[in-house]
Amino acid sequence: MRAALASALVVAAVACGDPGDVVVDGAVDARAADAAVDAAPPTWPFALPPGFPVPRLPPGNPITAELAELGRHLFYDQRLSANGTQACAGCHFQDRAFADGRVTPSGSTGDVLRRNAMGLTNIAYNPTYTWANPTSTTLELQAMIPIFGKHPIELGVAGHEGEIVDRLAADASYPARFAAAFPGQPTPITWPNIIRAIAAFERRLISGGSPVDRFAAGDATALTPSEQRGQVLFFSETLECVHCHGGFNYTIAVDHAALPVQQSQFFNNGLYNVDGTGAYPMGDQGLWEFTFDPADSGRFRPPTLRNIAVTAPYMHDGSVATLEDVLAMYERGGRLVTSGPFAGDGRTNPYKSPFVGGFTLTAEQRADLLAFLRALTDQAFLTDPTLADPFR
Amino acid sequence: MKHALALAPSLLAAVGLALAPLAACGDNDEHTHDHPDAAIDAGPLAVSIPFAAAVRGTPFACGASITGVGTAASTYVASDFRFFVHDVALVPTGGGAPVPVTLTVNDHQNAAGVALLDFENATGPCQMGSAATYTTLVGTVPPGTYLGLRFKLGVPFAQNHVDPAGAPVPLGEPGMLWTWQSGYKFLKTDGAVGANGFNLHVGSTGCPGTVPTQPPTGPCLNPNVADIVLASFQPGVSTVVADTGPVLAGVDVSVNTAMTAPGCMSFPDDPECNTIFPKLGLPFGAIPAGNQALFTVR
Repeated sequence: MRAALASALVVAAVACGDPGDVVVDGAVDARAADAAVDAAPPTWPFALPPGFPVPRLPPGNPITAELAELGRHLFYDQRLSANGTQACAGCHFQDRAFADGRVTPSGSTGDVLRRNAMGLTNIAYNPTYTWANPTSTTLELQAMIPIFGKHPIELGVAGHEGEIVDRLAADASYPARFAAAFPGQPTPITWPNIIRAIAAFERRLISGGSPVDRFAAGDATALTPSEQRGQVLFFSETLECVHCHGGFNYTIAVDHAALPVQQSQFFNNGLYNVDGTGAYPMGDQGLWEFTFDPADSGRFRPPTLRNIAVTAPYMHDGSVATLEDVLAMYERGGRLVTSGPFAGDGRTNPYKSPFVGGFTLTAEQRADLLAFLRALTDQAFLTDPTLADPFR
Repeated sequence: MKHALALAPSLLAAVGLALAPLAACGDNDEHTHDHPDAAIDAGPLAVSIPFAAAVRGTPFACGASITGVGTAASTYVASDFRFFVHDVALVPTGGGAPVPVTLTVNDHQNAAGVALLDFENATGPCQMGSAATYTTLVGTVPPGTYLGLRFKLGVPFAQNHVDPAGAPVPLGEPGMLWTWQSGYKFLKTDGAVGANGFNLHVGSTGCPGTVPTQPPTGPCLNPNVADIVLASFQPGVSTVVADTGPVLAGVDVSVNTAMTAPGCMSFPDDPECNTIFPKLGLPFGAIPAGNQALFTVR
């Protein structure tokens, strides 16, 4: 059994928080999909909020209720880490829209990660994963990083693959769950299948029930007058928010089944300007890490603003503590870091998006805009028992 | 794309149309199988209409640096060039009513006759688009001889405000969407002079309703759909050139009025639009429309 497992194993090379250098088992990689599985376009078996398109599904991983339910158990299961102390959910808390509230998280062995744990709201619609990786185009690819990565270690699975599979095989419920999720497979408890299941669960993390959505659907009482004024401001040409945060998912970095081509979008929002010529802190320079083009310095994927009020702290490095601070930064047209090794004025970063030009708000307008952003919180999503920890 | 439309060279010359060799004619495929001769006599003709994009005569490319743009003769670095067209029609030689071109449905043209021409390829400073480009309309017209092209720059109202999440491509394009209420950017030509972004976004304004996330409650006050007539367009010979140089010629693209959009984004209070809109053949507030200067025939 070990030999068979080893041949099916996903191999992780050096992972530096982004999966650009990870070798993937072809069966997991959507771009090398199993032709037998890919006979018909995958379908979406779950309900979607009104106005939400069908997510694009990788051809190698059709989604079923059984698969997603298996994935939910695996997502919340600490036995998935080598030392049994951390689950995927260890950095993704439902009540924080699957962010974790920390500046940067730590892995199962204490390694500190360089980037803020993203919320997982509506990640089924992401064109790319992690903060700035144009090559990480499926959740299956992304999941390899926290599972197998060694630099830093998160779940620390590399070198312990068979041991963890044996744990799951000895469990009272997993053999039946895997059999139901992968019918017809004689030995379904494999790492490629574990990853497929976790990705399927993550695709179910769909949120479209905020007060803003209820107001859009015709419930005139769903938003307060202040929230309504903030909504008009948000969509105005004076603030330019929607150039990066437009559309049903409040980000233009969006993909779904009906779009002809997958898109990837990355922007420099003026967070840093370390040397006055546009540099970001060494070791975390965004899209530049893939292109080495100076103009790509500081370009990161704009996240959805759905549930944004519960995912503080903000930005790729968690360096902006509150939503008020985020708004102040955009109002200024970039962040001024006054002291320390990263001092500099992001407003004059030459690679900043031209849509981060700054604006002036009255105190009331500021409060209105914040009220609108908070009205993008979907309380039902944060408490949905079908997305919650099944071990509690 | 299974079958090329077979036409005798003499007929080709007679109708004065260059036939796109790979253009299939949808329903006509089956017809051609059963009655090939009848198809030649009565079937529609494939037509392709190539477009080119330029700024002051320099072909558009992501990151292209163009000198002499606007009243301050600025050096402008281009970062986007996309626009929607619809109601595409050819004019019969000698005059008469324009004959609609039936656009072939593909990833860039939909069954309602809306197409997105896309010249950016998501490289360099083009940060809001996708790698795919699309520069030639393909469709069919009834047999005949044609001289002259008409189309509308924009998205028709009936298509512009359908739920963007479910809209048929090329609608739904994230980088071209304003909001459900105001619809799409019909024309998006972005660029910058140094750190000063100067982006031209043309679309409908004054779309009634108080909720940006709902369709408008009635027709938009300023539809801003330009009617383009290119009388010298010869099918099979001509290329339509969209050049923003003449459109930007009357504005200083190196500066922006404070608290207005960076460039001209169609909003009525933005003085940068004052000289731009008339040159698109559109009025801007009290300023009347002029002759459109964006499109020429080459």
